Amino acid sequence: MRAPGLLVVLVASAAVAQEPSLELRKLLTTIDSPPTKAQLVERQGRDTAMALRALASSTREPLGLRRAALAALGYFDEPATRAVLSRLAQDPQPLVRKAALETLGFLLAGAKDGVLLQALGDEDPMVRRAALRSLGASRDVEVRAALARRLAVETDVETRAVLEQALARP
Amino acid sequence: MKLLAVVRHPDSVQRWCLALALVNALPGCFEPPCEAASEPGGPFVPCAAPGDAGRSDAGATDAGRADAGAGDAGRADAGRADAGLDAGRADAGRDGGLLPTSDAGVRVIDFGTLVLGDAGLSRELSFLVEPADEGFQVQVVGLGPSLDTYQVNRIFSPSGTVVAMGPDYRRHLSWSRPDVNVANAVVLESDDARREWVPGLWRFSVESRRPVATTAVAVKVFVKPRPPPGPQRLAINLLFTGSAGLTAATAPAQPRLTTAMNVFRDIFADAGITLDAPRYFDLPPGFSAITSTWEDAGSPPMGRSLEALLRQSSLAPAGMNLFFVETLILDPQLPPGFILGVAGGVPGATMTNGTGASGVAILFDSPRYVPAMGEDDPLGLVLAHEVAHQLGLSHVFELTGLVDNLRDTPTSGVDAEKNLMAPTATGNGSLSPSQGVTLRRNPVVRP
Repeated sequence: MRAPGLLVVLVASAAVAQEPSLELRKLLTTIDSPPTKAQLVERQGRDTAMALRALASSTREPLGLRRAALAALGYFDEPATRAVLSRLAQDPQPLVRKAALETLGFLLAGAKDGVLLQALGDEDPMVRRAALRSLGASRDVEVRAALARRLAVETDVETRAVLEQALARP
Repeated sequence: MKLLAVVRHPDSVQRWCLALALVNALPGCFEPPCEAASEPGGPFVPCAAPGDAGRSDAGATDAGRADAGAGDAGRADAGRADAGLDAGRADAGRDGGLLPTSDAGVRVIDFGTLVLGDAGLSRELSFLVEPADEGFQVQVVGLGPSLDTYQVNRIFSPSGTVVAMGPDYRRHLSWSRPDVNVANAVVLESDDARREWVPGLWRFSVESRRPVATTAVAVKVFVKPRPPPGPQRLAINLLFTGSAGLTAATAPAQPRLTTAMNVFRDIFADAGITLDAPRYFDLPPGFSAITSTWEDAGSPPMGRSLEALLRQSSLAPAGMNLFFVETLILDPQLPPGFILGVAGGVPGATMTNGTGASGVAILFDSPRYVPAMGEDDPLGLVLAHEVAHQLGLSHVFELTGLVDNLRDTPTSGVDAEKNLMAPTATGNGSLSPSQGVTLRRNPVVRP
């Protein structure tokens, strides 16, 4: 008789626990003092990564907070984090796509990735550049071929400059 | 990365505040002394190698000399043994040299190039402050090929008081922070400024925090005469990389930027500083992403460095330089995307354009901002915050628990979070009276 009630309480607790705390939100509004992973965890607890993924994914949250949450996910390299980043790399908001690609690139550290390669064709040049910068350090033959193909069709001046910089790397 | 090396510096109290201030070695063209460029308000004059290169009087002391206050007195015996140090560097002259941003009667005392001794200390330097002066800024520019951290070691007032300390700077009201590779100190940054402000002969020395035998620095002091009562002015240069479609042509009518500039203007008006109408500049392609702090050992990965960006200030006339970028990463080892703005220093090189500390960089990666209910776009606050750093203000508190050195600033609680210099964008831009005084004392703020 008591077990279902306990289950409800546990489920409710889990839901509450991943709610981003006010302190976590404050920390993410940093102007120029990036918080450390320890500071984030101190404010939010063991479910910090989950709370950050929730913040990053929520369309009800301010763009700036979503961007900061995406950045903070760079501290939590987990399969669930990579899944969220890959999904948000196709968010309707260019700024969210860009932030997701930057963090994904940070976690991948130059490794080839389908999401990043796909983003080379994003409609927004800023997002294309974010993908480029995440991929640009790669020496992978397939990546460099993709960059070369993009350069052949790229019309945006700044993006071309980044592409040329990437391809010029030895 | 060298950024990390500096971040780990035991004296890097305000870790990120300092990290944000870190800048790289100048391009080759800072051949001291540059006499013509030292004239306040004068036209741009590229640096030229001095005719007396090779003099070897570095190390001679001029302690106690009343050598300042007029023209270039005060650098007559500045060591120039290493003039031409940068000769042959591939980037020499790339930015056309340094540009004095001084005007409105600011006196420039140019000590030329100093070679620091084995202990990393310069000889003592001195300059004269008149009763009608308001404040001064010391500027130290590293000239060596490698990054080093410099600091105005100690500043003595004519009455013998240590006004700004060196390595123990946190223990004193006026701070002279160590910075790489352009260090600046504005004196006096304290509530006791009026009491400590004594006309006469002021003395200071320069310290390298990582001494190497051949370290050379160029040193200047900018002395600001006391302005007449009333608001002062700050010239504004906005420099664009094309981020989020923002250019010199589109910026004047860009709604998000216009709103933010109004917020910035209101915050500074409350501090008694009127912003001049901005001047707009486009940068060449390739600067939209800042992906490191310094341009060391070749290009940083897939972007430019902060110091390379700020050196582009040589394009602009005297004033506060604000650069707009779409990516702002200072430490590639940390997750990207946290930083909304960064100043060239605390204070930065407000009196000289063309250095790696001559301006602030602002993240502008969206042409519009979608705020949540009850929330404002933080961009205006970020503009004001970074410019305040550049003029000499610290954070009122740090996430590490450290606080600033002004007695009338709130350092905890809601009031601290509302202050312009809270490290988070939680504020309404409020400033304490002492913060206003510090901002107005910077020589780039003029009558």
